[in-house]
Formats: sequence, structure tokens, C-alpha cells
Amino acid sequence: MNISIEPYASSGLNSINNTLTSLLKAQAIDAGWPRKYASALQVSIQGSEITIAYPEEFSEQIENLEYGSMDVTPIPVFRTFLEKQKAVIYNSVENSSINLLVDSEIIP
Amino acid sequence: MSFILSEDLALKTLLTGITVADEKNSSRPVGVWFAYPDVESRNQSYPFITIELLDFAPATDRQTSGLFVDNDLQGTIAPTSGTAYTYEIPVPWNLVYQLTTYSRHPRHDRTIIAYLLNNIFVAKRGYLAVPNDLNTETAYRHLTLDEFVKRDTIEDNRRLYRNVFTVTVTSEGTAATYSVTNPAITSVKINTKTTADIPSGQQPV
Repeated sequence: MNISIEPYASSGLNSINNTLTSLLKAQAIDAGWPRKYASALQVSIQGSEITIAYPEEFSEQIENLEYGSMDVTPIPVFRTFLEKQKAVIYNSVENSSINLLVDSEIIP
Repeated sequence: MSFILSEDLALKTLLTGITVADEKNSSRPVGVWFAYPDVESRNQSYPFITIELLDFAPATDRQTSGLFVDNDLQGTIAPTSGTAYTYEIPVPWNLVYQLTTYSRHPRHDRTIIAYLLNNIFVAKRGYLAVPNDLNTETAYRHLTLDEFVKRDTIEDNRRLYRNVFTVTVTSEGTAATYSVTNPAITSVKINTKTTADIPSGQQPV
């Protein structure tokens, strides 16, 4: 019996999109980003790809926060987000994969 | 030196010695700083590179555990009875650094990018030589280029060429260091203050 786990894993990831977005905003605020920019961040999941999106109008300020600017040290959020939230992501993929195996009666 | 300090120094050593050329100086040194230098130093020292530690995280995917016992110098000599070097397997860490390059001259900018990509992160991978305190042994850490972003800007009405390299260094701290930095818990205090907001018929824990 051949089964593909990827669609289930993607579906699992999509179900935690809002959770990841909340965690991203919270991480940015905790790191010291102004609320105005932290609350504009959004996690976007397409298939198995996780990306971070933000409005074009804030891109200069947000990228200056992330990478630093002339006299301001970087406050990385994008680059540390996946590492900090990997347990949430792994659990989602794991749960959806196990559900698939149970639904397919591969695991009784 | 302990880990992090060792990698900091090793990164600075690795990046020190780069030179760029222009019409006034055929061998202009590229400065290396930990974080952004004061304005006085900066104005006198373009181009330069800054090193900033962004994050460090336990690398659980590389973690093994147990006691390492070596009585044959890792298989290089016959085992010697009564002579063994024993230590707990170290705790692996990933250190994430941001290396930012700054230059006023486009040729300097391209030279530094070319140097880093051709000499430091060949095919996005490199290594970091980390000598021990006695300078008798050198450990080589993986140095991986995670991301490159161009962040050119204008400063004082002049162009400033800026590049951000995000790199990960694989490292390890000794288990002894790890246990010292995380002291054993001797007591746990739970609910030391009883809340007044307890529904009728319920008892505080």
C-alpha cells in the first residue's frame, strides 16, 4: 500500500498557521520590536513551505529591525523563529502523519 | 577560553587580514569589529566587517550521551593499561552569527563579497579553526552560510554598501560546563501566596 504523507503534513501545518502567527508576533514583541511592526507580521504556509510576510509599507523598518541599521544592532526574529518554534511544527507534522497511518489502518 | 568566547575570537581571526584595493591604496585593510564601532573609529576605517552573535541553541539533533574513555589515543597507539582519558560527551550547540560588511566604494564591496564567498564560505560551507588555550590543538567547527542579504543604504548623503551574512557555527560545550551553568534545583516553591479568588466550596492547592 502506497500512501503520501505530504498532503496530510501540509494540512497539519496549515491548521497551525494562526498559532504560528501569534507566536511570531509574541516573539517579536518579547525581543523588543515596536508593537506596530510586530503585529504586522504574518506566517504564510504554502504546501510544506513556511514563510514570513509583512506589509510593503513597513518593509524598511522591519528589515532594519531584523538586520540592524547604522547605529542599531539587529534584533533577529525571522532567523530564529523556526528554531524556537520547531517543537510546535514537528508536533503538527507528527500528529497529522500518525492520524493518516491510523485512518489508513496501517496502525490499528 | 570557554565556548562562545573561543568562537568569537576564531571568527575575528578568520576575517582579519582581508585587504581591498583602490586608486589611493593598493592594500587597504578591512577592519573587523565586534558589533558596530563608534562613529569616530568608523569614519576612519571603512571598509570594515562587524561580528554579532544572534542566537545560540542546543543542537539536539547532534546530541549523544555517555562517557568517552580513550586508552589508545583514538586507535592510534596500542592500549595502555592504567592510562585512560575519560570525559563526558560534550553538549552540542549551534551558534548563529551575523557578519555585516560596510564599505563606501563599490569595488571594495564586491571584493569583500568575492573574498567571503570564494575563501570563507566556499559552496556556502566553510570551517572555523578554534585553537585551545595552550595553542597545542585546534578544533575545526562547521561554518555554514545560512543567508545573504544586500542592505545598501545612504549615510550622510553618501552611498554605503552593506551586506548581511547569517552564518551558523557548530560548537560544543563540555558537559561539566553545562552542569555548572545549570545548578541543581534544591527546592521548589509552589503557590507561596494563596489567591483570594477561590470559588466557594473549593480549597486552595
